Amino acid sequence: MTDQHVTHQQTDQLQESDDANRVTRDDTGKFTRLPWLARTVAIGLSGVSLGFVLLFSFIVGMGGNLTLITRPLAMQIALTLPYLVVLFTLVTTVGAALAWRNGYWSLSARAHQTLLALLGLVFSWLLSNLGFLTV
Amino acid sequence: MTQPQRSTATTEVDRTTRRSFLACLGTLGFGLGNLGTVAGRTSATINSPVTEVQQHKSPFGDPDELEAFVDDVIADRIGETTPGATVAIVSGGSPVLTKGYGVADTEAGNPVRADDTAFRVGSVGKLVTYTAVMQGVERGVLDLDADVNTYLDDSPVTIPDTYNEPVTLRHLGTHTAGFESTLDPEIVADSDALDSLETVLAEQQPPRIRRPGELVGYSNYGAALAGHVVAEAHDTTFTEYVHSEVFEPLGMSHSTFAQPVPNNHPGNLARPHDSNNASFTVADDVYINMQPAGSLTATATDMAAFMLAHLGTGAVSGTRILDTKTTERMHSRHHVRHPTVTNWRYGFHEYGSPDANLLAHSGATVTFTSHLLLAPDHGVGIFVAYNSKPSELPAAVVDEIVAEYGLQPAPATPPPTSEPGMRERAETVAGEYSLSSLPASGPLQVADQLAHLSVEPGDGNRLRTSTLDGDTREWVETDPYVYHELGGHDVLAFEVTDGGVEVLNMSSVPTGVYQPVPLQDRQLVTAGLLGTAISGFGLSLAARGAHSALRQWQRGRTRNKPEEDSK
Repeated sequence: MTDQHVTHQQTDQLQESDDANRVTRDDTGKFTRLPWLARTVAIGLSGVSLGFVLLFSFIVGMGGNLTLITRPLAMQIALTLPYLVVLFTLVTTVGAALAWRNGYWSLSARAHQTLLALLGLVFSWLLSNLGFLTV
Repeated sequence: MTQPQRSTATTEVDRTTRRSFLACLGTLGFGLGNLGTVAGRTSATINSPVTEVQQHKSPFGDPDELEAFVDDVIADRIGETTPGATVAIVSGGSPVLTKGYGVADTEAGNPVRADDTAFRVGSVGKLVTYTAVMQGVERGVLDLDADVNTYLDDSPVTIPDTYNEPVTLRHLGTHTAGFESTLDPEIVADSDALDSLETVLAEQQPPRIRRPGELVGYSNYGAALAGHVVAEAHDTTFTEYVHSEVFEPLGMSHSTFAQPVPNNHPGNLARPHDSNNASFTVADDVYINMQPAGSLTATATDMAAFMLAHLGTGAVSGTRILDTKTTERMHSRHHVRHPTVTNWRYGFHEYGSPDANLLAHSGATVTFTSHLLLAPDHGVGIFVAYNSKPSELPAAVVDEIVAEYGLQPAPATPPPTSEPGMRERAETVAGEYSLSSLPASGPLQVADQLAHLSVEPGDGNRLRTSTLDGDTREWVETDPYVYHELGGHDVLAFEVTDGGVEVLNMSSVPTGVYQPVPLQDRQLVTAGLLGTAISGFGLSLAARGAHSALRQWQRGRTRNKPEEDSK
């Protein structure tokens, strides 16, 4: 086990233990808030993306395409989520870049974060291509 | 009211698809304004008494038999497809059947009466708007080929010079102005949110995305603009104009573009209904800001008068709203998509078999649907409206009447072309296509995605088309790149340049043309990327959840272990 690996593992464990109370406890206090933010937003990205697809499908399934014209409150809420997806994607992507640069977490955690960022970018492009970012 | 059971009815297959439904959505609009008289109108050529009526041998024979047949056709649909319907059929210069079916309001239970119950007819109202345009042309106040901006000097509405070619009234009447389609004619749920027509047209102007005259792309904005031009040219409001120049002369006393319909308006209004498994509930009405595009409310009796005016070369009941030449001009072709498919007359599109000389327009609001058809060669007009928005539209009823009374030839087995190379041509046209009349921006692009048409070589030398909603059809090539539907009247006509398809015209979809879809917009690409992203997000959340649960369990074990050790 290399020193670097030990550092990542420790940071990872520290971060995981902070998940419950969201309090930073590292020696310098320099990076722990950013890793927590990056990871939390990545979780949010997954949740909001799934939530948008489910909510949008449910509304259109129940009310048809006309709900895109009449825009009931539920559809208005659903149509704000793509913007949140884009915002979370940007933060997740920055978080992934910082994770590699600053050595947050374990290798697998960084790969996970990077994968989510890539999925976010693909999903954001798809939302843009389908016109959800032009309301 | 008796509603005899439907017996036998050989019908054409109802081709109601998501595309046709969305196309007929292009209907809603709204109208404010008080009824009154048009200021400054001086022409004596319009509304003048006449006596001549075009004579045609009625295809219906005994009116009682016609009524029994229509009763049969409608009977199956009342309570299943719609709570209420209203029907008008004219022939030989007079109404032969005007009748209401079912209920106007499921809560009150009051029956539909053809001469008293007014339905919202959606885009069928555009025919009134375009008739008004032709009145202006007849008077010399309007020119079909002049830049519409020349009529908008006193209006806040201006059409930008995106292209060298100006937008003209001919473009507006054939949906070839090149405005991006939005489907939504600015529907609002609250009548207080209605704006003036010029405000809506100025503030909600879609971009010009095609050269005028190039391709058909159904446009509510274009129809509303045509109505505004009529109003500006006559120094009045649109609702006032059509009231004094169309409705009053024709005795259409129950018709209005005004929203909400004034309380003192004659007759009763059919209430809108939502449906759920053949159960109907009264819905909230909506209002249409682009009023000339779809805010008309009318009875079947009124629509009979309107059809008679068109079939009577512009005159009915001794009053003329258009002269014979103008009516013929309106009914002539103004835009040809392709010679073998349905094309555009002024305001009307051709319907059914391209050789049958049928003119039509469908209509819909959020909770009403309608269809109007003219068969000038037979002197026949048919209007059907529902106070609901079912998946099977009123056009299906019209189709059954058309088929029963031979208003168009029965579908024949198309003879295949003798030109060699059918397989190669089928492979050339294979691909995915999207409709020009569906939105190219905004969330409604989803509707476009879902309505893509897939074309592939079929068995033998046939062509096969399919859509996501399960509309799969086989076609036979009758001329190079022209395909006739097996068992139907529909026609596909491809325009191929340098070995690639530029445009696909489908006869049953006159509201637009199909164009090849670029790779990134294809359904498979969209579905693949969406599936990958959603699966990835889902797996990530599941893995995090499992990891978190495992950690909690491990912590619990660690906490409990010292207690166990201390025992």
